Formats: sequence, C-alpha cells, structure tokens
Amino acid sequence: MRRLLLAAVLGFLSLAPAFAFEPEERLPDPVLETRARALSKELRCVVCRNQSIDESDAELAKAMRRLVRERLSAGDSDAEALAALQARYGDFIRLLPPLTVGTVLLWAAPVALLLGGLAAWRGAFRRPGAASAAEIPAEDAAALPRPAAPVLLAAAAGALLAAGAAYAALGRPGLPDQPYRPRLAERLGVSQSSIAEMEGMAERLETHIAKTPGDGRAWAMLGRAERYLDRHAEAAAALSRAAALGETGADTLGDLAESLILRDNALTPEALRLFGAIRAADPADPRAAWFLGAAAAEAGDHPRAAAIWRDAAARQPAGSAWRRRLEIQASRLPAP
Amino acid sequence: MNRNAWMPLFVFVILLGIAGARLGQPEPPLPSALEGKPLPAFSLPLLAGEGRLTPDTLKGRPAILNVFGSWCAACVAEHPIWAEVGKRVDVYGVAWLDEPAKTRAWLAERGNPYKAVGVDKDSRFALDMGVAGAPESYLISPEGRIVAKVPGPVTETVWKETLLPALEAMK
Amino acid sequence: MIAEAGHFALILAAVLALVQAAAPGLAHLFRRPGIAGLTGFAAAGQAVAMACAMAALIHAFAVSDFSVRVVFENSHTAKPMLYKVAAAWGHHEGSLLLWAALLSAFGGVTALWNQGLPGGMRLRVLAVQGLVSCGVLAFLELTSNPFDRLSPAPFEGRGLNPLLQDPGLAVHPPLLYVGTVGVSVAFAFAVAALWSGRIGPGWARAVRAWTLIAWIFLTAGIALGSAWAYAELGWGGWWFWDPVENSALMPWLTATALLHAVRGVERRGGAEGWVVLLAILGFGFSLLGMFLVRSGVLTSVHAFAADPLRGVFILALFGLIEGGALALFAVRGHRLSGRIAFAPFSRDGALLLNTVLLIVATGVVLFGTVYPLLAEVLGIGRISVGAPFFDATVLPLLSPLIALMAIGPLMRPGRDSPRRLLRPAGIVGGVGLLAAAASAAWGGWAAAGFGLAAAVAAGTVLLLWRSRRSLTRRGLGMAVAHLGVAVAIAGMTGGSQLADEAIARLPVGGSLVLGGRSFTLAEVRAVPGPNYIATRARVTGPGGLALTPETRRYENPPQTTTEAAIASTPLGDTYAVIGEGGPDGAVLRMFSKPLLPWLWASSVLMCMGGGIALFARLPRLRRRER
Repeated sequence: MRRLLLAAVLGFLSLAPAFAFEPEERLPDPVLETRARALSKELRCVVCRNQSIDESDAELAKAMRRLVRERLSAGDSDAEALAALQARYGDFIRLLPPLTVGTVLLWAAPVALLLGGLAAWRGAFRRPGAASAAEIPAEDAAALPRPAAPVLLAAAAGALLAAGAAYAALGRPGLPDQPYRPRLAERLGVSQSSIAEMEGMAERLETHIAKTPGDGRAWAMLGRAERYLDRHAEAAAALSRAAALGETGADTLGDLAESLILRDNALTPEALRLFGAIRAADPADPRAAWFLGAAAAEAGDHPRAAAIWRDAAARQPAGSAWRRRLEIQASRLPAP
Repeated sequence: MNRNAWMPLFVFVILLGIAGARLGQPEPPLPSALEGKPLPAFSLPLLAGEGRLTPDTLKGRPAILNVFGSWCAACVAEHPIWAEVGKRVDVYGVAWLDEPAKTRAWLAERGNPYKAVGVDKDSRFALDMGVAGAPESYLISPEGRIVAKVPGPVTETVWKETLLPALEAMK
Repeated sequence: MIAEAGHFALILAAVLALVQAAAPGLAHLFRRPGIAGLTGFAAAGQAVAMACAMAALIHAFAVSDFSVRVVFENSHTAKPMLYKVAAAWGHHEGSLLLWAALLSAFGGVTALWNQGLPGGMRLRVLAVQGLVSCGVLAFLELTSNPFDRLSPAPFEGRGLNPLLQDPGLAVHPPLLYVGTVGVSVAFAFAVAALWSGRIGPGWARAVRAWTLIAWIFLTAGIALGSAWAYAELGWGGWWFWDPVENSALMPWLTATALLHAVRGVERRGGAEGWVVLLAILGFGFSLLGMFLVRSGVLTSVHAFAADPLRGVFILALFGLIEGGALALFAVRGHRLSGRIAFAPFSRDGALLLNTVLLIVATGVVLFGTVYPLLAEVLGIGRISVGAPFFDATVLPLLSPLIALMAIGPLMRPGRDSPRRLLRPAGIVGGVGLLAAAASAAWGGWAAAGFGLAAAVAAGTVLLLWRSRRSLTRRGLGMAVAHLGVAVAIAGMTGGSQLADEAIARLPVGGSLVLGGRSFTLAEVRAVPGPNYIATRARVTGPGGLALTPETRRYENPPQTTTEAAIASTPLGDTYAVIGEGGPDGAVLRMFSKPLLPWLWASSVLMCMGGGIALFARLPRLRRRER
C-alpha cells in the first residue's frame, strides 16, 4: 500500500515491494499495451510518495492502470486518457507537469538558466577583471603561528573545564553502561563466559544453516542455544523449523512447546497440543505432565491435575528430582 | 560592486524562505478538481439488499457522501460524527475497497448512521470522484452538484466551520 | 562509563570547535599572534574527540547497551555483529554523529597536513571549518543527542528494518558521507579566500586535491546506492529522480564542475570568483541534502522521521553557513577574479563553458526538486515533478556538455582556431555519427546516447594518442575518468533503450519469451532462512543459464523483500524476479538489460581516474613541504 517512510540512511531505499504489475492486467494488443505502459509511467500514484502508478502496488494505482487500459481499448488517444484522470485528480497526477500558469516558471527555468549561463560565460571574457589575483604575493607568514606553552596549557585546561561544566548539565554522569551480556548473565545466574560461548555457538549454527537450511538437527541445536540465551521467540521459530524438518523427538517438541509458553507467557493451546502428543507417546515424560497438569489446574480441574502429576511422578525413578517436584506440586493442590 | 555577484544570495534567500514557510506544516491536502461540478455518473450496488446507489438517489435534498472502509483506521475515529450529522442532512456511505461482509460487521459494531451504503469494491467510483484516500467526504447540493470536498476525517471543527455553513447557505 | 565518556567527548569536541573558530579573532583582539596557533591544535583535538565519540556509540551498539536510547530503538540482541555495528549509523542521530565525525576528521587532516600553503590561509581555512563544526555539533547535542540514556534500561531492543540488513547498506552511507562532507574543505578554502581577499599560491592546487577526494567518494557512494537499488528493488531500475537521490546528485554535479573549473584556475587563472562560488555551492548542496532528508519538508521514501524543532535548527544552520558564505561572496567575490587570459574558443574556454553547463543542469535538478514546495507555498496548488520532467530537461542539457567534453580536450589551451580544430573534430564527430547511425534502429535516444558515448571515447583515445610521449599522470587520470563517462553513457543507454521485459503467470515447467530467448520456470519451493522464509524459484534459460530469484517474508517486523536474480555478462544482464507463487507456479517477471553492467564498471573507471590524478598530486606536495 505504501512505500514505507523509513528512518533510513541518505541512500537509495525505495521500499515498495516489487511486482506492482500483474500479468493479467496486460492488454492483448501489444501496441495498446506499450502505450498504456508509457502512460502509466507519467501518472502519479496519488497515495504514494513520488511513485508512478506503473511502479506502485497500491490498490488505487491498480485501478488507475485498469482505467487507462479501458480508455485506450475504447479508442481514446493518449491525451484523452490522461485528461480523464487529470479531470478528477488535477495536475497533481501528472509526473510531467503540463504547461499552465502555475508551471510556466518551472518550464521556463531550464531555458532561462541555460541562456543566463551562456551569457555569463560569454560576459566573463569581456570583463576587465582585477589584476590576476593569483599573482598577488602572499603577505602571510609561511607557517602557522605557534602558541606559547602556557597559552596552550591554559587553553587546554579551559576547554576541558568548559566541556566538563557543560557535560555536568547535559550528561548522566552517574549512569553506568549496561551492556546486554552481563545483564543476561545476572538474570540467568550463569557466568558471562558461558553466555559468550553459547552466543558463539548460535552464530556458528546460523552460518551453517545459511548454507544448508535443510539441516533439521542444526535448527534444533540453534533453538536450544537461543533458549539458553533467553530469546524465546527466536528459539520457538528455530525449533518449529526443526520440527518441520523431521526433528520430532520428545526433546525437541518439548523444548518447542516450552519456548512457545515462555514466548507468549501463557499456556497456549498449541503448546498444550504438543505436550499432549508427547504424553500420549510416552506417559512418563515429566515435563509434558508438568505443563498439562498446570493447564488443568489453571482451568480449575484440580482432580485431573492431581491425577496427571501423581501418575507421572510414579513413573519417575525413585529419588529423582522430577519425582519430588511433581509430588510436591500435586500435594499443593487444594484438597477436594 | 558587481550586481551579478548578489544573484546566488538572492536565489538562496528565496529558497530559504520557501523552506521556512513550508517547515512544520503538514502536507496540504489534494484540492478537488471536481468541486463545483455535477456528480459523475455512478451506480453502486447497495450493501443492504436490492437496488443501487446512483446520483438520482441523492437528488432533491442536500446530501453528504462519505467514503470509508473497514480497513481504514481514521474512519473509526471519524465514525461517531455521522450519527450527529445525520440529524441535519442525509448521509450516504460508500464502502471502498472492502468486502461487504467486513463492512457489515464493522457497521454492526459501530452503528450504521448511513441512509444507504454503496459498495465500491473495485475503485470505479473512487476513481470517478478523484478519491485519494479514506475517509473522504463530499457535500452534494440538491441538484447533484459537488459543493465541498473534505479529504481526511470530518472533525467537529470541520463540520461546524466548513460543512454546516455550506449546508445553511444552500437552504 | 563508555557511553558517558562518548557524550563527554562530543561536548569537548563542540568546545574545541568553538576554540578553533574563535582563536584567530582572539589573537587579533589581544594582539598576540601566538593565540591564533591554537586553531590547529583545537582542530586536531576535535578530530580525536569525535573519533572517540563515534567509537563509543559503535561500542554501545556492539554490546547492545539498551540504556542508550538509540540502541534500544534501532538494534536487537539477535542481530549479526555486522548489522549491529552498521545500525550505529542507520538512524538520524547516529548518522549525524558520523557526518560530524567525518567533518572533524577532515578538519584534523587540514590542520596536520601542510599543503605548501601560507600560514595565514591555513589559519582561515581552519577557523571556517571550526565554525561549521560548531553549528553541526550544537545541532547534534541540542536536538539529536545520540547518547541520550534510558533508565531503567529495557531488556530488549526494537530491532532494525530487514531491508537495512544488507552489507551494501552498511558501507553505502559512510562512503556518501565522506563525499558530501569532503566538499566542506573546498568550502572552507573558498570562504577563507573571500575573507583574506586574495587567492594565494597553492590555493587552487589544494582545492583541487580536496575536491578530487570528495568527488571520488561521492561517485563511489552514488554508484553503490544505485547498484543496491537495482539489485534489491526488483524493478530493473537504478535511478528514480527521487528528491533524496537528487540531493546526492547535486553535490556530485557541482563537485565535478568545481574539479574542472579549478583546473583552469590552476593553469591560467582568471575565473577565481567562479571557482569560489562553485565551492560554496557544492557544500551548500550537501547541506541542502541534509535539510531535505532530516526536516520532513519533502516527501521522500528516504526521509528520516520528521521533527519540527530539528527542521528549524537545520534551516537556521543552513541559512547561517551558506547564507553567510554567499553574502561574503556578494560583497567581495568580484575582487578575486583576475582577467581571463584565454579566448572563448580554446580548451580553457570550453572547459569553463562545460562547468557552466553542469551548474545549469544542477540548477534544473534543484528547481524541479523544490518546485512542488514553491507551488504549495505560493498557493499555485499541488504539482508533481517526476522522472519524466527530469528526463525531458536534464538529459537534453547534458548532451551538448558531453559533446563538448569529447572535443574540448583536443583544443589548444589559450586560443584555438576553428580551422585547426576541423580535423580532430571531424574524426570525433565522424565516429560519433557512425555509432549513432549504427544504433538508429533502436530509436532516437539510443542513437544519441551511443553517438555521444562513441564520440567521447574517440576524443579521449585521440588525446591519449597525441600525448603518448608526454603523458602525465594527471592526463592519464583525466583520460581514464572520461573513458568512464563514455562507458557510463553506453551502459545507461543500453540498459534503458535496448531493454526488454516480459511478465507471465507460469505453472512449473511453463516458459516465457524474453527478447527471443525462452526461459522456463523449473521449480518453486519454500526455503527457510535465518529470520525469514523465502519462496525461491529456479529459472532456466538458453546456454545453461540458471537464475534463482526469491521473495523473502520476514516475520519480525512482518515485511516482504525481493531478491532479484541477475546473470551478468559483459554484454548485459538478464534479470529475474518472482511475485506471488507456490509450489505449482509463480508470477515471473524478467528483464534483459543490455550493457547495463558497463554502468558499474564505469564508476570504477571514474574513481580510478580520480585516484590516478590525485596521487599524481601528492608526491609533489610533499616535496614542497620540505
């Protein structure tokens, strides 16, 4: 619809998605079609920024292209087709502004500038001119003057003091840097070096994936790295890609479901569906039981939650951490 | 003194003046090429049931034509005013580039202040009227002449200062 | 504390800029010439301080310090390192900091590099540079502080537009900035000349060297931007006459004129006033570009988010710097011009005429770009001035210029006679007409384009042949750059006038015909990328040609980009893009762009030519210094 107004560089970003033009729009008669294309390039897409309707994919531009083609097919001349749109939208629609009272200046400018330039060029040879300036000997000393050491020191001190005073008013002297990695390390309770290691691994995996995007295992590993780095949206994206590529082990699917939950901060139906499938295949999977039970508890179905948790706890080896956690979770439910 | 040497400064000051005058101003709206002219011929299917919306539908009394769409955010903000305006003058809507089902749902949610709503799915009407965006509104005289065009939302101020006086003048 | 240190460095740079600008005046006031020497130290110090500030901002982006507001707004932790660093100048504040840092760097180099200029001239140049820096740094600190902090800091950034995640875009803005900022040195020399009332020895040589540096970078920056647009936008176009494109073109045209005019002054003197005016205009157009992009007066796809206060500030800055220089020119400019010691019909006369024609073309571009604003302000109504206008006006203006460029260098300096010129002009014109006749079948524009390109090439080759025993490096540089122009014209003409296009909705296995060649859509499949899903088609053509155009759908933020597939040969490009499609088929659009790769080759030639001419200069300068 729009070329995005982009906070960008002084560069050449013109951001219309390509393909304004669709094959079905073309006229069967190549002569008419060529005329229509040429006309389209002269008509401005009124809802766009400096684009012709030929390059725009806005709906209105498409309708204008259709109108131009209908007119030409009905036997209109180019001028008549242009006039039809001009009557509705005014001169604004013409990228080649027609000569009117308002554009006399615009069209006269190139001619006036050219004539003025030629006259100035010719006139330059008639001017007497000053004695050639380049020949005037320089009065200046050859070198830059050197400030005395005390002057230099005083100036340096003065500049630092002035800058310091201005900074005190404008800056935030008390505010330390807050780079991302230490903050993440603190939040996750791990060391910065292990985060750096994981970031390096994620980067290597990304380069690998760029070359072989069909490698499901690499996607799964990337997903785990992203999970570790607390980037759950990225983790979910990578893991679902892995799942689509055939990595459908309980580990991967469980990680995916957990990432989805962490990303959306809710027990979403999609995540629960994944856990349901895992539990159906392996009733002993503690993580699936954990979240399915939680969902049941959240829905108020406490007996079902207790049943899921107790059942899974019983399937864990005696003394394992999961067993303890599931049992504690079940015992915390309000008694029926 | 060389007069030519002042030319660049002269041109520069003019350019600076233009830039200064334009600075901070919003882009002026596109003036309507159709103001003062009779409505172009159109025939739009009605959103509700049989029949069509044509210039003849509007004739005999002053009317307002409002171009809107369920996809248009500014139309949501504008919408409440039509219930108010509808008490003074007939307001007709044209749903532009919109699926009728979506338009119906949109109107069901916000109320339908329009006397009738025409459907312009393929922009034929919009092109004939020189519509450049939604919302856009037209004040139509009883003889079917386009008296005023408001590009963008009709606000309380626009209604009181532009459309209402024009409407009074007609009567 | 690195972010805060960067902020302090920025403020210190502003204070030093003030010292740099004021020292000569203070020296005069206190009658202590030594004080004036502070200017050089301040310029060097300012360059160092700004380098530190820029480094601090890049560091904040590299470590994702979201307590710095611009990092939060324009970066994300999951981005590859290259784009994290490039994001440091991918927004208003950072790009302006880079701009200002480059300005300071040029000031520092002027301070340290004794170009064989008298001390007084260097002092004035430095003071003018300090004044410009002062304004830009005040603008930066007061309206666009890149070191603005957030407390508490957010945990994740908002990310950068996927379109900006392109290696070309990491390099393109800095290149272009070196060019636009580089013109400021010539500007400072021009104002210093007006200030002192004389053009001393070495002035023209120094201006030429600085302009050449800026011109090389402008050429490279514009070419890179165009090449990016060509490869990424999927329209097969490379130039759209957009206001912001125009505002990069205007400094280039002016710098080109300056480069040639100052050559004449260096050789014979006479048009000093014109050279000074060109230098002032060149930087004026750089500032105008900055104003247009950052103030929000023009609607352009390239514009930064508008902020009225910023607009007012830039306008005031623009008015003071450029208006002040032009006022000085109005009062004192005529004093500089010496008597012209050559005839209009001579090599120097032709050179002067061509600089005038370049400025006329620049004026038309300027007028067309701002005319819609003028019409609005004067109440004429809203008017569009688009590509067809510029094509219809600028191209005819450039044609005589290029014809003159083919013949002018073959003329004698000082004075020439039409009779003597008859033979070389006959050869050049003959080659041009022959090429035009040979390409007339493709239409008038093609004939004109190829005719002019052939004439320029013939003229340049003839010049090289004539001076084969006495060829200087500067002469060689000029010849290479002029050949570059010939190649560029051929590339542009071929790429537009000989171009062909085909579009069809094809099933897999279906084919379309482009310029007599048949291309088959062999396969369409979804290919996952790191943060997007691509629909990739494989298109096969005659001679084993295989193209894989893509559309990429990014998820966050949701956006679709096209990756055109381009097969380049020296004879031309075959260009393919796909639109909507699935495993069964897709819309395929193909262009053939004969000779278009010549356009990119030509920019290399032009930069090379500039480089050869520049390095011909430097050794001699060094000798002078001793």
